[in-house]
Amino acid sequence: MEILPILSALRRNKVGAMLIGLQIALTLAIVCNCLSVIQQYREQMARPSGMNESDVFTVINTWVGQPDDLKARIAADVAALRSMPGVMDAEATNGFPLGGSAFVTGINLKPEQKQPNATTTEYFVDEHGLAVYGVKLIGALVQCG
Amino acid sequence: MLGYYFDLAIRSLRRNVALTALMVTVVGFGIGASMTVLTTLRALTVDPIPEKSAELFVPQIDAWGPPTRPGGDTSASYQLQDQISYRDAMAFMKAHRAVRQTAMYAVSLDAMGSDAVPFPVGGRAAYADFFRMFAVPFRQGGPWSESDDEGGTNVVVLSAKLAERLFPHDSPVGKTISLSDREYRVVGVIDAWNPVPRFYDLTQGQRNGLADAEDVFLPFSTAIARQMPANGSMMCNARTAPGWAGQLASGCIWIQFWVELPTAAAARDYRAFLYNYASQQRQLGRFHWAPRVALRDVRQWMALEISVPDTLRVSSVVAFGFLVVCLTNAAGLMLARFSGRAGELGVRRAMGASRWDICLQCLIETAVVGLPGGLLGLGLTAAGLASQRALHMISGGTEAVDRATSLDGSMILITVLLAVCATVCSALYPVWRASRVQPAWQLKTQ
Repeated sequence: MEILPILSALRRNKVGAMLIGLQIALTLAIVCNCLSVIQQYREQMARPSGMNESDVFTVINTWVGQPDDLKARIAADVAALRSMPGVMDAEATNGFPLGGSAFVTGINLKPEQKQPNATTTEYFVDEHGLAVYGVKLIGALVQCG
Repeated sequence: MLGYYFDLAIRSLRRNVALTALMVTVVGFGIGASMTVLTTLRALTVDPIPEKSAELFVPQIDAWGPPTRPGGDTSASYQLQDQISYRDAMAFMKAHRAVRQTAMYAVSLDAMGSDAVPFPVGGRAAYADFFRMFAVPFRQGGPWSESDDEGGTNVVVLSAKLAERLFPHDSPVGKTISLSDREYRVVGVIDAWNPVPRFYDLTQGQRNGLADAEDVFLPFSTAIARQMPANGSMMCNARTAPGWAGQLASGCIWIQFWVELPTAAAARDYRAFLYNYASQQRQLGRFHWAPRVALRDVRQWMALEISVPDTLRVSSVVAFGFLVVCLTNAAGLMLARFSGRAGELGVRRAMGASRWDICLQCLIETAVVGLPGGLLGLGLTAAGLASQRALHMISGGTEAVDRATSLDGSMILITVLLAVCATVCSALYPVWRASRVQPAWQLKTQ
């Protein structure tokens, strides 16, 4: 291929060549940055929640008013769910990861701290909780008082 | 002359349909991407109550003090809490220092449908002033009375939507409805009212202001007497005594408070009242820190409280970057187009057209490209907004999200104007180049 005529044509129209170069550079810079922003965002979304997301289903029951025997009713519902064929386990809880609302508490990262410097979500569960969420216990903390 | 240039532009654009289509597409995509984001961003920042936004204020006091802040931060830069405790809310209500004032919080209720099947509805416990303060339009009846506020009466105001659902055939005013197993008398039905952003309570959901207005409104004292739990953000700085009484006596913050102060003097006085209140609490031994107070109007409050969703932040960077790319490329195409027409422009120059005439002719030609580009962009914006809705990219109430992702008249106008202006701006250099054509040189080569 004859490359010299192209080069000499470019040399004759310096501003035009420069503009085309600038245009390509700008396009590449912005498009690449956008792609990397999108990529970062996708990675953030794909970050594992740590729980078994695919097999856990949520059932929401709304009680009319505030029945006095709410505790017993919830226990009966959970027992009924557990006895259903195909259901491995069930629990009643105040929330779950990615659930939208949460009970958040400030925590101390070091025992000697006076002020909490981080926050964490609290889920109130029974002994079935960990199995339902599909999480593995790697340590335990007993809070007194 | 402009008509003639317009005619010329159409002719020249028709001569090279492929290039014209390419330019229109490039402009259209850039405009479509950026306007999709801009429409939603605008919905999150538009003044929802322009006639009163400078008269409605949220009072804030430093009720928790530096001990609850990371490192015991005592600097004035630290944000005060956006809600107040029941105790402070009652003190502000009792002081009655504003023209109108209301403490309020969101509740969740179960309404009994006409088919005896209960369904959940969002409710708001507030004072009767709420409706006048926020200029809530009534379709029938009106707010409850001040004695209802004091007495904790079982009265409610319904949204038009809920009223139509519960009473499809007759007027609901005066009738009773069942909410969470209690009977309430309907005193009013409000007309379609759903401010976006829902400025009066920005603490719910993703804090993006896109929650829907509630369907049931009831007196604050009634909700407290019925021990209705707050359906929103509840923050505590210490362990509280058990039960409802414990929550009311605690320092937990869960109540929104608004005051109406029509003049600057009234606002100044109210700020002084807040400061005095905080000092008094210090003297009483409740606060152990210097008083800090704030009084913010609707716009300031929105600027402080509404968090623009991350998705929107990311897409605005991406979309406007894309617009710049599209316009740069449109400019490149324009440059190629005008240089290809140097001969024709040279002839016009030789026949007496001034540089300015050439400029005008070329600018009109670019505007003629920008207009269909804008229309294409408008279509793509509508498609982009529809996909935003379909993919639930923005969370919030159905109606509020619908409103935030719809094009209104002014946005349509802005879209088309932006397209034309952006195209013309991107063509400034190509046009200038075209006007510098040397007629003699062009004629010689022809």
